[in-house]
Amino acid sequence: MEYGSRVLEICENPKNVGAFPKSAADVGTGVVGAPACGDVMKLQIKVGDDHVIEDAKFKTFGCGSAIASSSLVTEWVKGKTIDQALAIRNVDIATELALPPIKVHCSVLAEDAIKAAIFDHRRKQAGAAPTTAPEVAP
Amino acid sequence: MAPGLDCFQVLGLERHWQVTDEALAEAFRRESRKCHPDRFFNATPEEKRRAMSRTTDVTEAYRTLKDLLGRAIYLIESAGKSIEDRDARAGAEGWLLEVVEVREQVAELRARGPGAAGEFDRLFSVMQEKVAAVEQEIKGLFAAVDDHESPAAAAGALAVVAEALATLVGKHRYYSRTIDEIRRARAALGA
Repeated sequence: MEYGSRVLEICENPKNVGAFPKSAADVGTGVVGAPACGDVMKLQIKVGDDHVIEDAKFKTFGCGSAIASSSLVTEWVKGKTIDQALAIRNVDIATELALPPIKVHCSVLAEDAIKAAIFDHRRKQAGAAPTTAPEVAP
Repeated sequence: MAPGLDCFQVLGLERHWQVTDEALAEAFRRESRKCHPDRFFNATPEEKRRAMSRTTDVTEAYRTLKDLLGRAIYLIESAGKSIEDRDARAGAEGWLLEVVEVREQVAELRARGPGAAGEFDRLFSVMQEKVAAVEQEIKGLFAAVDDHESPAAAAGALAVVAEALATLVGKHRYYSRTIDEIRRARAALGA
């Protein structure tokens, strides 16, 4: 199948491939996969005290669209707050990359990955700071 | 697969998830004979059309059930669930991270060249053991559904089992995909 020019461009020169130590307190790791095709994606964020994402890295083992989607998301989230990053929707990714319908699930994967990374970071923060009141209604 | 097709009924079988390969093959032969074109040589176009469509169903049902994963996916869908459920993936981080790590290892080994052959073989057998374990677990879940006496209890078990099966089918896919990757990388070494 033919990839769009934006996907090819990113695949030839993906940004932010790599990893952070997953046990670091300021790192959030999201791992997601597509059971239908066996693609896996690991996306990590490094978050500052001000809740701003300082850096992001990914490793994706899958098709070009999955690689492009995760690369794009790591670029987008840098400098954003966690809340802004949570607002990223797969539609934005799919539109930017001009993904054909059959590849839209790759952008869903990237959205899930950034969310999972943010939740992992939150979990760590909650664990590190037990004084914080839990966000549960009585 | 055709939605709503009752694979067991089409093959004239009891709803028994542990059905053996032999029983399936026999059912397939028996049901295929019933709708074979030779028997409908002098039939009306409508009867011919029905026999043809029945042949399609019988083949489809057989193909679905004789494959372990196909049967598992059929069970999952019978319970109104899907292996694509986003919820089903949410809790998967632990073992999925392991898959990512093995894939990373494969990439590193590939860069290392011919000296990596032994390490590839080791990874290969580790992953094959994982696949075998997943297949055992899937069979165990089939047994769990079969063990219920009443259809209602079986239906209840089906809903519970479907979730666990969806994870297992996913695992099987990720592991198999990793094995393909290892095989390809190993072959590229030429050793």
